[in-house]
Amino acid sequence: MYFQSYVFLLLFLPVTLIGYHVLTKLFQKDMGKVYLLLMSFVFYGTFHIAYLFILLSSILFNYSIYKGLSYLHIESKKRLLFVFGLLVNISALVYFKYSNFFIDNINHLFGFSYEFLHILLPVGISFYTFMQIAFLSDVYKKKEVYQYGILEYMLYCSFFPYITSGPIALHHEIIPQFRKKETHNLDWDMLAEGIQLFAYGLGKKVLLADVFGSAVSIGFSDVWKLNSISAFVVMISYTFQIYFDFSGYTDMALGIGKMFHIKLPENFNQPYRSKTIVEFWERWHITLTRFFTKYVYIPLGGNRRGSIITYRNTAIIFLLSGLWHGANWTFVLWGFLHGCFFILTKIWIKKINKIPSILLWLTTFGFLNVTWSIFRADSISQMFSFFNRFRDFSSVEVYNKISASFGGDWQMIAYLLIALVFCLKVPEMTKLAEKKKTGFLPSLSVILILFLAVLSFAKVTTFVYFNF
Amino acid sequence: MKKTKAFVLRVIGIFLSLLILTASLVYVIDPFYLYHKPWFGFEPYLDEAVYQTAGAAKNFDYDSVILGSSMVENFNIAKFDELFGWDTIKLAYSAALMDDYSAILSQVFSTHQVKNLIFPIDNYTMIAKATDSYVPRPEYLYDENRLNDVSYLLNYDVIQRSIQVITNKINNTEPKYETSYFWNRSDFSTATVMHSYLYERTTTAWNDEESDFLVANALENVAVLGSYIEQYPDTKFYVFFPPYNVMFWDYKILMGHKDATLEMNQRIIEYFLQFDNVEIYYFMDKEDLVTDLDYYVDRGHYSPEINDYIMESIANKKHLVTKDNYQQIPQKMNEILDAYDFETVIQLWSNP
Repeated sequence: MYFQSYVFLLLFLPVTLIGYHVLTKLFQKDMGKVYLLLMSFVFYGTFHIAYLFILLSSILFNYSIYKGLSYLHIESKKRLLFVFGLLVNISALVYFKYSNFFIDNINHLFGFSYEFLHILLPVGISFYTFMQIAFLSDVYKKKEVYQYGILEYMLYCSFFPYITSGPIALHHEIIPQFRKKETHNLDWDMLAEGIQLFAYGLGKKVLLADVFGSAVSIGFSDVWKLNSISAFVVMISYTFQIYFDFSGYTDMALGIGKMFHIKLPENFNQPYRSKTIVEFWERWHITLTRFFTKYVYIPLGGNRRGSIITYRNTAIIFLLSGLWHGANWTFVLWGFLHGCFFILTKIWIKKINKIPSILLWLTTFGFLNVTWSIFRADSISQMFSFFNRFRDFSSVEVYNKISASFGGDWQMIAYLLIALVFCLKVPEMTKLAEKKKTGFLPSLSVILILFLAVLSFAKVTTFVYFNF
Repeated sequence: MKKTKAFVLRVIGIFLSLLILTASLVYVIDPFYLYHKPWFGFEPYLDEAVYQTAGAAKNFDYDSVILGSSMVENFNIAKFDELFGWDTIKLAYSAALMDDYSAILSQVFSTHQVKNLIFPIDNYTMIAKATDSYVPRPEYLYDENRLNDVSYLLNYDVIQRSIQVITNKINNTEPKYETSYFWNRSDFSTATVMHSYLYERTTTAWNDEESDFLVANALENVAVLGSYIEQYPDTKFYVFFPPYNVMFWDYKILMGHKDATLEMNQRIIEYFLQFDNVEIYYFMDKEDLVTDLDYYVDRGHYSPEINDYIMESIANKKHLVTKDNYQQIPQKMNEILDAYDFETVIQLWSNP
C-alpha cells in the first residue's frame, strides 16, 4: 500500500487514525499502541506477507541481542555479541539486496553462468536494519540504560509512516514520544499541521514528481531518440523528480506522524540551494547522512586521525551510500563521484569560499544534475548512451513525447520554471505547516491539492495501436 | 471553536463532499457504462475499447454481437440489423488478444442471451499466446469488486470525459452510436500500403523464423472460443478469415511462415467444423480483392466496402467453408500467390 493510493487515503489512514484516538481515549494508552502496531503490520503486510515475517524476525532478533547486551557485564562477551548482531543484520541486508548483483558480476568477470536467485527485496529493509544497527550501537556503547518494552520497540521498528522509506528515525527520538502522556491526547494543532503537511507532500509527489517522472521514463526508454535539448530536459526533470518524490514522501510521513502526535526527524532542507556539495549533504536525506556520520564515519575515526584518514573515511561513506541506494554500478559510480567532489571541496574550501555564490551554486547544481542522471540510468552503458545524446544538435525541438507528457512545450517550460523557483525560494513544507495557518487560503489549497491528487491516482490511457 | 479544530473539520468536510459529488457525477453519466446504459437521452458512444467494452457488453441491449479487432471496426451495425433482422452490438477491441476476448465473452454471455456472434480469425490473435492480452486491462472495470470502482469514480480522466459528454449534449455535437469505431479516413490506396510496407520490408533483417508454435498457439486460442460454442449451442457463431492482401503473404514468405500459416488456418477450420452451431467464412482467397491494394491502408486493414462485402457474403452464405471444400484452400492460396507478380509491384513502388 502506498500513501498515494485510494485505499491508503480513503480507508487505511482514517480507520487507523480514528481507531487510535478512540482506543487511547476509551481505554488505556497501551491499547492504542497495540492497535497502531497491528495496523502497521497490516500496512507493511500489504506489500507481501513474507516481508512481514522477515520484519518480525529482524525485530525479535535485535530485541534479543539488546536484551543480551543489557544482561551481559563482561566487556569481551558484550563485544562478541554486538559484533554478532551487527554481522547478522548486515548479512541479511547483503543477502536480500545484493545477492544477484554479486552473481551478475561474478558471471561477468569469470564467464560463469550462475542463475539469479529468486529473492524478493523486502520493502524498507535497509531502513529498519539501519535503525536497529544504530540502536544496538547505542546500547553497546552504553550511553544510557534503555528500558524498552517489546511492544514499544516493535512499534518503533515498524511504525507505518516511515517503515518503507524513512526518515531513519532513531530510537531515542521516537520511543520516548510513545511514552509521553500528551501523545495520547487528540491534539487539534498537531492534527491540522499533520493534514497540511501530508497534503503538501502528496501534492509534491502526485502533481509534480509524477509529471516529471513520466517525462524521465520516456527519455530513458527512448534514449536514442533524444537530441541535446531533450536530453537536457530529461536530466533536469529527473533532478526535480527525485527531490519532489522523496521529499514529498517524507512530508507525507512527517505529516502522518503528526496526526498521531509523533514528531519525526526532518530529512530535507532545500538541498538545491546548496552552494557546495558539502552543504548539499547537510540538506539532502539528512537522516541518512546522520546515520552514516554517527555510526560509520565516527567509529572509523572520523576526522580525528589526520587528513588522509579523514578522506579515506569520507570515501568509504560515499561508496557505502552509493551501494546503499541500489545494487548497480551506476550507484557506485554516483557515490564515487560525490565522494571525490566532496573531498576536493573540503581540501579547497578556503579557495572555494572566495568564488562568487552564483558560480558556486551553478557548479554544484550542474554536478548534481549530471550525477542524478548516472543515478537514474539503468546501466553504465545506458548512461553513456544518454550522455552521448547531448552531442546531437540535429534539431532544437524537444522530443514530442516528452513535451506532450507535460501537456505541451509551454507547459513544459512552466513546469521547469515553477519547479526551479519552488526548489530555490519556497521553504520546506515542514516550515510552512508549522505556522498552522488555518485561514481561507491554506484551507482552499489543502482541499484542492488533496482533491486533485486523489483524482490523479488512476489514469485512463488511450492506447494507440495503429499509428495511421 | 479552536481555529485548528475548525480547519480540520472544514478541510475534511469539504474534501469528502467534493469526492461524493464527483463520484455521483461519474455514476450518473457513466461514460464507460460500468453501471448502466446512458440515462436522460445521452447518446451512447464507444471509442475507448479497453475501458468501455466490458461495460457496454454488460449493460447495453442487444441479441447479437460483433466481437473482434480492427478487422470489425468498420462494420456498420445499422446495415447488419437491416439485413439480418438482428439487434447488434459492435464490440470492437483493436489489437485485442484472446485473454481480452475471453474477458469480454464472459461479460456478454453472463448478462445476455446471445443469438448470433461474429468473430474474425485474426492472424495476429491466433499466433499469440491464448493467455496474452493487448495491454494490462483496468480490472476495476471488469471485475465484480465494487470497492475498486473508486479508481473509476474518482478519476480525473473519467470526470473530464463525463463533462465532455454533457457539453456534447448541450452543444448538440454528440457522436452517433452507429459510427462508433468507424474510421474517418479516405487514404485507402496502393500507395499507402506500399509506402508503409516497403519501409518495413527494406529495414527488417529477414530470417526464416521458428514456426512450430503457430498451430499450438492457434489451437489454444480457438479452444477459448470453443468453450463458449459448446456451452451455448443455441448461439450461432460466425467466424471469418479476414481478407488480408497479398503483401501479408509476402511478409509471411519473407519470415518463412507461409506454409505454416496455411497449415494453421486448416487446423483452425478443422476445429470449428466439428460444431453444428458454427459457420466458417474464408475471404483470404477472394483473388480480385486481396490483389487490389486500393482497398487497403496496409497489408491487413481494409476499407468499409470490404466490411460490407463480408457482411453480405455471410448473409448469402458466400465463401462458406464446409467439410467438402476446405481441403482445397491451401492449393487455391498457392495458386493466387504464384500468379501474383510480387517482384514487379515491389520494384515499381521501390522506385517511384
